[in-house]
Amino acid sequence: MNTNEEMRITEFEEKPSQPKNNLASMGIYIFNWNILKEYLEMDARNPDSSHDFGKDVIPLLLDEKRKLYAYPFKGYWKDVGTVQSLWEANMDLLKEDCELDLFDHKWRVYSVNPNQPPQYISPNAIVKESLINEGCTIEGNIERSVLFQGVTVGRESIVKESVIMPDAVIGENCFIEKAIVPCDVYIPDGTVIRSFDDEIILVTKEMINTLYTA
Amino acid sequence: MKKKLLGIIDATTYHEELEDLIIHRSQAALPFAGRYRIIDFVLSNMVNTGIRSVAIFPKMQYRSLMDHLGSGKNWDLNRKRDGLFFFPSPVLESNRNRIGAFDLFAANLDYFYRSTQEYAFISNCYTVANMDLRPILEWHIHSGCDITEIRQKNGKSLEMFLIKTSLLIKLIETRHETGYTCMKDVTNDIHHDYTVCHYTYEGYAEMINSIENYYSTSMKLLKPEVWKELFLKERPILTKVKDEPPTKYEKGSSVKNAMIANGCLISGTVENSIISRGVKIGKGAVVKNSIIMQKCQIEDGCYLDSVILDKDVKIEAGAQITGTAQSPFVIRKGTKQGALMNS
Repeated sequence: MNTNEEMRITEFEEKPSQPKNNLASMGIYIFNWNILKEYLEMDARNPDSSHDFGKDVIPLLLDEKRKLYAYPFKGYWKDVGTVQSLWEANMDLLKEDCELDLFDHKWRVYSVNPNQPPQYISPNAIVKESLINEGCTIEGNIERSVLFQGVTVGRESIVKESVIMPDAVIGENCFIEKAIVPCDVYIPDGTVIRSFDDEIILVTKEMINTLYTA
Repeated sequence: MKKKLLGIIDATTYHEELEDLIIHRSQAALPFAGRYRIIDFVLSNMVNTGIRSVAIFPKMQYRSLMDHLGSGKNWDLNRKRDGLFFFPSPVLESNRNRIGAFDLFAANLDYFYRSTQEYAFISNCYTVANMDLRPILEWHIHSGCDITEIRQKNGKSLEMFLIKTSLLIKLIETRHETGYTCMKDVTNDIHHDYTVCHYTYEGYAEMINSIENYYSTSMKLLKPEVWKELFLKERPILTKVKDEPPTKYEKGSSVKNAMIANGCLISGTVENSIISRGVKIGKGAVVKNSIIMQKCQIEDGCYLDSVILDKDVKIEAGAQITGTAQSPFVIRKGTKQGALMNS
């Protein structure tokens, strides 16, 4: 979007191929309710509308010369709409100076908390720069990774720069790098998952099945 | 089972050998295994076995216990019918040593009269075990005994009893004539006509009644064969859940053979230890053979070996504190320990 010096919005384009500046909408709006109601009703009556805030409602408000202002948000923000960006957001949490502070007790991030015992780190395990949740059993090497609750990592396995979702089981002698392993996936002993072109791998049950039937 | 069995937890006990850890709390609320209170084990055993009505009789310092249990929601006991009943003692604390569990039961006899469950399971609050009560109740019913006392493999009583609710009511009502103050008095006495049987529990069970066995039992949790007997997927130990982030292992940290709860920030070294929720361990700090309770802060460069830190303890940078396995160094709740203050 483009604004004047007072941050009043002058132009608004939804996902332009060539953006004119780096002022991007976070998709979070505050409206005066009367105006929102009026324009939503107007938009609902328009058979040509795709009924989208960014594509229809905001441009209509602009056309009608309503006062639209931008608020430049300065904190951590990331849209996790792709496998790559989901992985990046997880890796961001491992940075020492991460702007999103999960440990701020004054601003807790609430969630559904399953009842799991504490995590167990075995005598042979090595854990480096990672986030590990409850119910995990770690007997291998974890490096720069994010592990959700109930994950098991067997002996001599190496998990690097990866995101392992709840209750996934990684057997022994596995090597997993730059991957997202979804919930409940079982990775048999000796499996190697690595990317050769820096693209993040989203592991699937089908992928594991093909690996072991080929 | 829910129609048949009542759960009764005697949380009146006070073991002096645990004094440093139970000055501010009921023994039932003693933190254990990084995220539990000791009562969670017996309470979960009851709930996992299908008991739907649980009565807890605490005597003193029960604020932390009430805070932990709340409405019973975490144990699925916040119910319209049956549920969790909390019966604090109506008696002043000065009498605490002369008051038996039967006196507390007597003060709440209505609960027993009102309950429709045919049998009652009476238990202490400080046994660590993952126990299925169903086969024990079956055994009790088939044996035709009046009272079943559950014992360990070594013959020691686990201070858990099965009895018909109607007989329990009778024992409570006649306590002044008989002189019985609790179930133990009944099973230890041979001058009555009740048949007392013993059921031997073959699984893992440990009663926590001294600092020494609190410490040794905690350390045993680090053996996979022990924690696999306690933490079963099909019969989980339930506790109060909190919204904590995962534990963060920072650059330079090293952790081996440890049980670690959520919300910790670890920059130092941890070995053979149990770390509770929200603990911070600073850079270059070493924590070995220790139990660290909730929200403790261990600053940079500290060295702790064979130490028990109660909740909210702060160890200032560079402090060195060492105990032994027989006599771990205990630091009381909420205190601050500086580098120059150590023993």
